[in-house]
Amino acid sequence: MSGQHTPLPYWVIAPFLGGSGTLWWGVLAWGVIGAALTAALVHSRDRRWWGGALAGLVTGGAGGVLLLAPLWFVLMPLLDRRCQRCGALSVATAAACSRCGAEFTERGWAETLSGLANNVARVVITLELALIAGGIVLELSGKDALNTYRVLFEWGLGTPRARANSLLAATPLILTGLGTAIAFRAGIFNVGVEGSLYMGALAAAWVGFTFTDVPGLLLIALAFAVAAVAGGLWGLVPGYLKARLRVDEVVTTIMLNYVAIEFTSYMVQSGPFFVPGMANAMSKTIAKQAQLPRLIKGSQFNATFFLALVCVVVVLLIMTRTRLGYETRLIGDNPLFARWSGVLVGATILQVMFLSGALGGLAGAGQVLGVHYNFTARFSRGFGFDGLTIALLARNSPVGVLIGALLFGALRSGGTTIELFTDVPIDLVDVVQALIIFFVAVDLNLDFLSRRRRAAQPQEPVATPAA
Amino acid sequence: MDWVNLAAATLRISTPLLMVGMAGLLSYQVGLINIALEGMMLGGAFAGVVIGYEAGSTWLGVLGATLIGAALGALFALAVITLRANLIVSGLALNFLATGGTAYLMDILYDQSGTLAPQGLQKLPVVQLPLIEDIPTLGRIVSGHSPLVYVSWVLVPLTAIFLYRTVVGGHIRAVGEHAEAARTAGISVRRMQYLALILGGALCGLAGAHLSLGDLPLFREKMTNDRGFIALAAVYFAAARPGWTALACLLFGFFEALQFRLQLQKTSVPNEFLQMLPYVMVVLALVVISVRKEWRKGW
Amino acid sequence: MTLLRMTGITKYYPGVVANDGIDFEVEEGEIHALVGENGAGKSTLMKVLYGMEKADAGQIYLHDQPVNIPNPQAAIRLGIDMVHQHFELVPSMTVAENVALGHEPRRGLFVDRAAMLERVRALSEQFGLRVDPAAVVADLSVGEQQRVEILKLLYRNARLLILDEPSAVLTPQEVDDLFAVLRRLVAEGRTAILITHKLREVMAVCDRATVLRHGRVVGTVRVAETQPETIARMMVGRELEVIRRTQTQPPGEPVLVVHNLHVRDDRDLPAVRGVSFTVHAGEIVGLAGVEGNGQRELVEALVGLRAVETGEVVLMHQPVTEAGNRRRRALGMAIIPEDRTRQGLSAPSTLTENLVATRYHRPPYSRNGILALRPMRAFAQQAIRQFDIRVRGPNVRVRTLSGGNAQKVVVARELAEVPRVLIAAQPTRGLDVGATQFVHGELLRLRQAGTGILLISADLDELLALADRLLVIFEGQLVGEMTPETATRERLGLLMAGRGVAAEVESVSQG
Repeated sequence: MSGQHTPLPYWVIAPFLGGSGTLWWGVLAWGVIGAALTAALVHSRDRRWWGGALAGLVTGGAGGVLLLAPLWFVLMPLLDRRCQRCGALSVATAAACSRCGAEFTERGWAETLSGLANNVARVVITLELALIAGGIVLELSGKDALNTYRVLFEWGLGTPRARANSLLAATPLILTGLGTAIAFRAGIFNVGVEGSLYMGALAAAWVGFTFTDVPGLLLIALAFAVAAVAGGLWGLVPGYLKARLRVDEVVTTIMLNYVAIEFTSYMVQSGPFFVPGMANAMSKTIAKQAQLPRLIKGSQFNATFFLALVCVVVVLLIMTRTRLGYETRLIGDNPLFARWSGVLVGATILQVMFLSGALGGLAGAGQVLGVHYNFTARFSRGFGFDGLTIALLARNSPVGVLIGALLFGALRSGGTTIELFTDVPIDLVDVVQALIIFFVAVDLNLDFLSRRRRAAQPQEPVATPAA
Repeated sequence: MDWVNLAAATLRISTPLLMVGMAGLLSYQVGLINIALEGMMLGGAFAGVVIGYEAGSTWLGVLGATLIGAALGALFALAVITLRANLIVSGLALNFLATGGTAYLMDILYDQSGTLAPQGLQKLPVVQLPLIEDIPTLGRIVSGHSPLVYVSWVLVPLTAIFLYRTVVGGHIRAVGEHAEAARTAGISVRRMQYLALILGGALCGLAGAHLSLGDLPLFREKMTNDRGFIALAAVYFAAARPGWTALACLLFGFFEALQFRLQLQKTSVPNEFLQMLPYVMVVLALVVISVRKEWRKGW
Repeated sequence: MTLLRMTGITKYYPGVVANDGIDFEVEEGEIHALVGENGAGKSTLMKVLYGMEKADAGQIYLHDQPVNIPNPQAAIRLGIDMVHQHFELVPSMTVAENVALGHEPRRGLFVDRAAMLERVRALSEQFGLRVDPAAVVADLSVGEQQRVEILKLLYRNARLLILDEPSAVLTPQEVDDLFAVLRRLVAEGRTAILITHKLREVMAVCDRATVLRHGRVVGTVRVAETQPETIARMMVGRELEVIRRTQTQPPGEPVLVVHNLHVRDDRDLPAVRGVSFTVHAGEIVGLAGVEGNGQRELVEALVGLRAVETGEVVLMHQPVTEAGNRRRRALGMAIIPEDRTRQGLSAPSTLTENLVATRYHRPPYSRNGILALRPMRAFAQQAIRQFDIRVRGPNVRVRTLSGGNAQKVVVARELAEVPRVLIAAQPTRGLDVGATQFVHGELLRLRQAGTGILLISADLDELLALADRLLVIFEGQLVGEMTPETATRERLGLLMAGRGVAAEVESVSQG
């Protein structure tokens, strides 16, 4: 507030609020974005882009994404294509009429753009709806929503130290987000990255305080490697059950999370890693040379962040350029087709679950080597579940996970200081997170307005939402 | 080891598990995995304390808790059935909403964090069963509990009767097992699913009330302590049969009670392994079910 | 007296006209057969009658009153009810509970179990449907379960009962029991429509039969006055000018040998019962049969996706009975699956991803686990050219393609390299004339190049035009083998419908 530089992202989100010079940049930015999106969307229907562009410019300028959201709701159903032969409505991206099969004439670049606009709009709108809903909650509680959000962004992104803390908070989220995302991409609903995180953390701590004679860099590398293996092996348990015995992975991974939490707690509370005389349930402190140095004064930001960035690149490469990535995507897209094409689905599931767990293990190791310097029972503040949220929001894309993790990290980091400067409790962040997940869950089926119109035609009976 | 005390504690600790177990049962029978039991219970616990305090009556708090639980159940149903949101994700969302929301409200409304123990809020009266309390050992175990403990015992046969003897219960089971058959028979699948989730929510709310009003009248953040998942584990383990589910809940309650007492004494079996037990058992149960299915297909 | 009249019923599905101006009439108190091959339109017509589909044109009359049937509940209220091929029973409930589902006799909030049992028992005796009302459905045999389904219809006061391929899941003994039940029903004043492709049923128990072909009514006959051959001919059509393949060539080595294969279906019933045959290099073996006679399970067993109960499969002289799909493909097997969209393609994936699905793990498309994107793209572009796939580029998502185009993708993937053995299951189903001709051209090209092809089809024109040898499958067994020169549509139709089984089985059982 006083003396704090209000970062641009805040104005980008709510350009019509406040009165600073940066306001107009926000308006302009959203005007352009709004114009481009709307133009693409309208063009794909009518082949006349200037009308859409004008509309987008106005709405973008007037309220940015806040107005774009309802516009999107209105626009999407209007983009349904009407078949010339039989008059039925089909979804905008269809190539042929869903009822009579008549092919639609080709469209060109506008179709790609409208697809892109669609994806961007969904992410932005989901986040935005969650923030708006959070804002409503704040207002109903008698708090100043705008001020709260301003503080949130300032303390998340305002000073170098704040930014460092945001990056620090984002680090484990990037890794757990990646781990969850690759499993999701293969169609495996792996909720168990939290468990792998704990196993990896324990393993890293063990390496850290056992091999005290090994030189620094080697020890660190060893710790991370062992943590990845530990997390990966933990991920193989539900993976094997799914691949070999077709046991549903949702319940098993949730349950195994608790097993991991309890097991690792046991190890330090009464098991082999128990340190007599310690008040808290902590393991021995790891060797000095294994402790990752604090890179920015006043923050625990450490090199694990860069490891996480590397992992983003690695996962991206794996997904796009390797056999495993191809198999993962194919199984996620159509597992039956994968089988019919000779893909060894079981083997792929095992590999994916190992990789997923390994990333979780790295996240845990990062916390041990970079933040706590030991293993403390139940230390995770829900990194695994945050990762899940991010993977959902990013629709499993590695770059999307990175962006989502950065945003979330800022949110969490800024959130911790909210309590000091406003009278809003930190739990607001949990509420916003819940809202994000909720809106993502609904969004996964959110073209329902468009569906409603199409459903008004006679169609096949629709199945119930079964488990 | 004071076995009498342990037995009494088992009954007390099993109560929320029994109620949530029945709620999980209802969801399972209607064909929806309910991950959100935890959140509904927590919401109920919070509502119990707040409403009990504001209204000046603990029983009104219990009622409020039940209603809030039902409301959360309705919200969950709205998301999953009407809005077609993903079942698992919505369940997780509701849980997060409950954890964050209760902590948030606690701060907003009462400027407290961590624990909410309003002055003047009474816990539920202890019930002494007339004749039974005089029986030597049994009396000490069975009598002298909070009334919700006895309610939970009644709920088990009540749920069984509801599911297996009433018309509506039969419809719920049909919807869960073969929705198409139910639909052609003229049953509204959505209505049954809504009903099961709302009833389940109410039961979870009631369980929450027991947690927050049954012993020490207070609300603590995350006080449900994953009991929702343990109860879900019991349902899976018992393949959604009421009697076996109740037994599983009692068993898990026993382990929890035992584990408290063992913490005071030094024993060879670490607490954490006891706490792990329900989860491991679920995984084992699922494995056994799958193995049997594969066996019949001939691997 | 006419009970039901459907006039001018027309129904479109994407790319196909399922019902084309159908007039259909049922008299009260008769058992009326609705006969035809797959794709003839019988299921669609009954779905319209039962309210599961809405006709695009036409009208339904009950007792000469026009009626509107928007959903199954409305049909049931009008007294029209249906027993589906896949039963709608709740396995854990008893017979009585299933029969009375939705209309239970009540006592307050509770089910009046005694009354329910009594009513069901009375019904079962009245109609001769022997089932124990207190038995749990999961424990019953399939035949008994079907009786429960019929009881359900009767409990709901059905006057017109539709049975969809009822004998598909029954043993011969159970089929006779069913016939007795049907006669009893009629004696008690009900009417029945029997959807079937089996002549035995039509001749044994039906009063009249209406034959459909390609969505139109071919004719309605009185069974007692008609020969089965006539009905079979109506089902499959007269002899037409057929495009024959160019010349016979002497068959090469056996590339696919199947010996005494027994395979079970998802319900654990025997679907393939002792099938033996050989496919040689450079020959097209056609397998004729109405869908649902074991072809699906046979194909799944041949491609390595369904376990075999007994028997052997030998591919390129290698035993592959236990081998998985990848190994069989490695030995030179290619597959055009029956379900194009679910088994043959991945809709959300790109064209390139679809095209390389069977070869991505081999050089030059990947080395040491890394994909080689350029060769993949080259392959895709080559395939687009070679097979004339109408797309903007190799990165379009396959879900945007039309039916014919999509099938080209499947063909391109499977046939880009000349396979040793090709299993083609209903390869031209749902395709227009142009696309069909394209596929046929490809099959002949491969035959010329020495591929051994097993062509499974319900389309006799296709089989007669392309196959060097024809086999007929009925109820999981091979019931006939002939060359196209000696085959007539009538003979084939009869065999496909289960007639003439005895004599033919002898000649085929040696494989």
